[in-house]
Amino acid sequence: MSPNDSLTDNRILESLPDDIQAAILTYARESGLTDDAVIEGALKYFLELDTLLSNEPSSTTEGTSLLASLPPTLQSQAVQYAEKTQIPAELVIELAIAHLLDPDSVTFDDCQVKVEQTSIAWLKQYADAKAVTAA
Amino acid sequence: MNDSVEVINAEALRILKVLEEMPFDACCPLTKEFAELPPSPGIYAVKHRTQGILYVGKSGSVKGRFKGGHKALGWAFMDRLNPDDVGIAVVTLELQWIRLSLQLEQIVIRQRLPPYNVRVN
Repeated sequence: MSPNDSLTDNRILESLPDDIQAAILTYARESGLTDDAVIEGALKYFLELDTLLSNEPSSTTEGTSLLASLPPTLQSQAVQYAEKTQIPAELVIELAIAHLLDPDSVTFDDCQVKVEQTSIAWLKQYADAKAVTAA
Repeated sequence: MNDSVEVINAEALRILKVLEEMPFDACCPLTKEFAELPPSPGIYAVKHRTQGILYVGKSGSVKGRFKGGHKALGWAFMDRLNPDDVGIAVVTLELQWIRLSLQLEQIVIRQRLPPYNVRVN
């Protein structure tokens, strides 16, 4: 496994609107991460988690919930956030990705996809942290 | 449809009232980490102690929005405003309003025309 490989399966990416998918791919290219690692990074950025958190494999890929595609610790943090904020857990994924792509947005509905240099810089730091951990 | 427009307008005006009436001392002060801001979806106002609302915005994480830097705080700096006289008021959005945040924000901005929204948009 290369340092930048993600343990999130690609069901989340495939579920996203086309313009969001395209943006994720651009951010992946700019940061040197895989597309799924960008999604993991978006959640860690949004939930203010340690970049080195939850590098264990996904618990299952058979569940119907998109959250089941995430590594267990990340799933659990997303569920905790959802409970505290009183929103559906799956919405956390949308909020996190929208926030990475456009911090002035709330959901994909109002997300003006653009190349956010602050987000790219954070993802590059995340890629470096993953590489150090994998070494 | 008219009902839903009225309901959205009413909620936007409620949010504006909360933002306007929040005492300055109850606003979140400007700090490096913005630890007092909620990491959740909300509509916020950058306020001055005497000038009132300077800017209104929305974000999926109000705390995250400010931790990454904010143009309104840049304008406040350019205007030589004392950082101790600038604070942030927030109304967090309940689930039913999350997908209507753009409409709510636009109504609030149209009602109040905050100077920094006019300047930066």
